[in-house]
Parts: sequence; C-alpha cells; structure tokens
Amino acid sequence: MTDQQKIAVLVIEDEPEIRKFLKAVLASNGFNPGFAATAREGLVLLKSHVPEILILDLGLPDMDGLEVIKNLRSWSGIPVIVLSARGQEQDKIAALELGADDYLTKPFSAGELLARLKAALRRSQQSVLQASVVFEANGLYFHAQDRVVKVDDVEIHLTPTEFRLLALLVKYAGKIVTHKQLLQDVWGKNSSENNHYLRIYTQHLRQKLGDDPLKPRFIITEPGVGYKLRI
Amino acid sequence: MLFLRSFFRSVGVQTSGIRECYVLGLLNTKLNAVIPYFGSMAMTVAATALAKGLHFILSASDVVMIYLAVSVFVAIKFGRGPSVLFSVLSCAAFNFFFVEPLYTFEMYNRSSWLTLLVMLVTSMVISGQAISLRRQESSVRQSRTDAENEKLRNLLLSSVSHDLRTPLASITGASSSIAQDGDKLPRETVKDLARSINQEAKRLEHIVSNLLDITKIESGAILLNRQPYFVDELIGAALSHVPSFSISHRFETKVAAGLPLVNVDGFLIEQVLINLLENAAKYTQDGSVITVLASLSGGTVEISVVDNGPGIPAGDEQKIFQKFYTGHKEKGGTGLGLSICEGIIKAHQGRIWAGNAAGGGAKFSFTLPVAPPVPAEVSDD
Repeated sequence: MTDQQKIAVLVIEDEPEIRKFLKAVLASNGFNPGFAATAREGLVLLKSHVPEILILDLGLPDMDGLEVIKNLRSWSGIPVIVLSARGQEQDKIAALELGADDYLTKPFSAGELLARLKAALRRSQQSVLQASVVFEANGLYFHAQDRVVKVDDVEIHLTPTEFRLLALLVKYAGKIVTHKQLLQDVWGKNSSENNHYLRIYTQHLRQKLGDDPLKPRFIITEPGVGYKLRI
Repeated sequence: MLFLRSFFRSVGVQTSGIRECYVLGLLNTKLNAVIPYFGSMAMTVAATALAKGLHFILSASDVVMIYLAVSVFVAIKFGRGPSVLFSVLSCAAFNFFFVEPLYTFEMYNRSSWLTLLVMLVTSMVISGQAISLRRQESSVRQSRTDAENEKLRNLLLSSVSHDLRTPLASITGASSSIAQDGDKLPRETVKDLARSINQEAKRLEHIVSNLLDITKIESGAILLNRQPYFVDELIGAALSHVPSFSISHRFETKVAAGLPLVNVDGFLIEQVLINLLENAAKYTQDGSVITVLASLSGGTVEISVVDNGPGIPAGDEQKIFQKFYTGHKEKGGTGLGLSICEGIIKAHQGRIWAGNAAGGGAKFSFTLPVAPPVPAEVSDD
C-alpha cells in the first residue's frame, strides 16, 4: 500500500508519548498519519494537508480543542474524533454539539481507536452516498420522503413527533445525538430544558419499534450525553 | 420548674432576636462572647426565684446548696468568666434575698459573712473543676478523632502504595525487558509481556480513577447533572458494559412496568450499576445468574442487584461499604467500589444497603428519587 492509498489522518495532540503510540498504531493499520503538537499548527495542517479524518485532543496547550472544532466546522465536514480525559463529560458533550463525531476517553486501547476511526469513516461515506434518505440496518427500514418506517418488514405507524425524533437519529446514525440537539431539533429552540418530553417520546418510539431499552436493538442510551442509532 | 423553663425560653428568644438584628460579622462575634454572661445572669435570677419559691421549706444552707448546684451547671454550660460572674452575683443575691435584714446588702449576723465567703470560694472551686473536666473530655474526644483520622490515613497510604506499586513493578519489569532485549526475545514472549503491561496498566487506571472518584465525593466536589430518566434505560446502558468484566455470567432483568421517571445524574447512576454488576460477577462463580430488579417502593424507585453466589458473611453488611474494606483479599479489589456507590447514592438523597437474598446470594439495593411530574401535558400533533 502506498501512502496515496492510505487514509490521511491528522492527529492534534501535545503529549509526545501518545503521539508515538498513535503513530505506531495508525501507520500499521492502513493510515497515513500527520501530527501537530499545538492547535495553531493543527489548523495550518488541516488546510494544507486536507486529511480525511481528524483525531483531536481537547486539552491542548495553546487553545481549547473546542475552538479547533468550531473553526474546522466553518469550512470542513471531515469526521472528528475527540480525545478527552475522564471526568470531562461536559467537554465531550460540547464537542459533540459543535460537530465532533465521536469521543475516546483516555486511556484507550489500539483496538478501540481503530474501531472508532472505521465507524466514523464509514458513517461519513454513507452520509455522502445517502442523499437518497433511505436508512436500513438491523431490520429497521426508514424512508424519509415516503414517511415509511418498517421493522422486520412490518410497517410501523409513528406520530409526527416520534417520526421527527427517529429521523434525527437516522440523520446522524451511528453517532451520538445529544439531549440538547434532540430537544432543539424536534421540539424547537426553546425546549432544551424539557428532558421529560425527550424521555417519554423516546419510550413511545422504542415501544412502537419493539426496542427493549434493557437490551436495545436500535436506540442506544448514552447516560448524561444522548442517544445513538445503532448501525 | 415551669417558671424556669419559660424563663429560659424567654432568654433564648431574646438572644436569638438580638442575633437576627445584628447580622454584621464583627458585632455578631462580640455578641456571641457576651451571651454566656447574660446566661449567667439569667441563671442567677432563676436560682434565686427557685430558692425564693421554695423558701418556706428551705433553710439558709439549703438555699446555698441550690446556688452551688446551679453554679456547676453554669460552669459546664458557659465557661470560666460567666461562672465567676455567677458566683459573685449569687452571693449578692443570697445576701439581698435571704440574709436578714432582707432586701438590703447589709447583714445583722457577722457569721453571714463567713457563709458568703465559703459560698463564693466553694462555687469557684466547683466551677474550676467542672471546667477542667469539660476541657479534658473535649481533648479526649479530639485526640480520639485525631487517632481515627491518622489510622485512616495510614490505611489509605499503605493500601494505595501497595495497590499502585504491584502493577507498576510488573509494567517496569516487562517494558524494560522488551526495551533491552526485544530483538532477542521470541515474538510470542514479547507479545506476552506487552499483554501483561496492558493488563497491569488497566489495573492502575482502575485504582486511580476510583481514588479520584472517592476524593471527589468526599470533598463534596461532585456536581449532579440531574435529569429525568427511565431506569430501564440506565440499566440497559450499564448492562452494555458487562463484556468488559464478564463473559461467563448470565444477566437477567426484572423491571416493573410503568415505573415513573427518576431525577438523577444518569452517568453516575450508570457507574453505580456497573460497580454493583462487576462486584456481583467478581464474587460469584462463572455461569452464575445475576439479576437486576427495579420496582416502586414507598415513593422511590428501588433497584437491586441480586446474585446466587455465597452471599455476604453475617455482620459484614455495613462493613463492605467502608473504604478499603475488601471481602477477600485474593479478589484484588481496591475496596473503593462500594464506597463510591454509597457516596453517589447519598448525594442523590437515596439509600443503599446490602443483605442476602432469599435464595442465599448477595443482594445490593438502592433507592432513587422520583422526578417531579411532567410540567405540562405532553401534546402530540
């Protein structure tokens, strides 16, 4: 595999030992990694090298990692995987809301990292192909324009709110959608505090889809963060 | 007695009233220093009233005894200064109300001077004794808590340093061996060493995050991000972590239908459930059944994790929540998991307890507060 065939990934991380570990893992698994130790350097490399995916540490010395996401999202939609320390729950949520695709909590293993990278890349390719707005996975069929939802080929009738909720999860399938994003997109700008609605409608939606929250087949709960549609 | 009580009450009301008037810090401090002296004066009045009320059946020496008895109380309650004040005031009151001629500070009988002097000295000596007794007692109490804290600190240090050093030793050894002889060692050996480094590093991570959690909980730095949740969602989320600690146990759930929303920090309650599930898996044999139950109980939602293992030894039901307490040393726990659970549940104003299930296995239960009812009727289009 030449460098051209490999997937270009940019890593913005200030810890030299973590960079070393990432370099070893990425280089031996079909990636062509580039590295930046500061946010400023990273933003320059993002424009000059145009990587296909970004791995971003939130605790950078010169700038908040969240600022990097904000800047990047104003001109690029490449997948972003955020690295954070344990206990930075609010930062993770903020990163997701700014447009990050996924997060990994340090310490993480090589296996976990590769799985997240592959999922994020698959998702971004799908969303490019999938202007057709048909979603199909694990026996769930969703057609946005025809407003058809089927589970194991049986058609399910959803209320408009339930449908909007599912449509949003489908739009970001495989990615965590935060509570705030769900509330604002489904119920409107001023609803970000009414978590009750979200719980109750998610429960209704799950019941109609035959999805057991104790062993979720479709909708995965991420306590404190949001929900994710399994792909 | 009734008179006394109402008198105290009136003094109490008065002082608290004064306190509310002067909320300024400095004034308040000064006031706090003065209040015992008022108390001492009040006690003089009270003792005098009592003695006067019972005067017709009391001799002069009985009256002195009443004053002396109250002086002990004043010494213990209000300290040295007020007790000296009480001694002086009570001598004066005794002279005024009980020594002929009544209601003057004069006296016909010279021996009354002696009575007064003896009363003053005795009252002071008794007060002094009472005060030193009080001091001794509080210093004993203080040194006892100091000793307990010291013991805890030592336990923490020895437990932590042992738990941290063991994995560190393995990591240092294995990694230095790869760094030095990596090219000479067989591939499989290098992989083995790397695997043990990985495993021991995970152990370290576990200990360090537990220590951080318990420190956060104990320092009160834990901020709850409370939101309404259905418990089945939280149980489902916790169960998704099972593969990281068990591949051989059977996990079952019995969640009552129609449970109300609970108002909790979902991330932290998920942690509690993971800790309890992991604990159950650790203390039972492969293939055992671990069941999560949830039901409504007395206005709260009660969740239990039950296993069919050997259960909790009698008398250990409370000890297992103590820091660094591990049921079996060989299981290799830090003894912090359950303390963390307790800290999180208490922060939610819930209860957590352990016991044995009817079938003999261990049963850990906790309660969660129910969320206030939905603000308005949820209307669907």
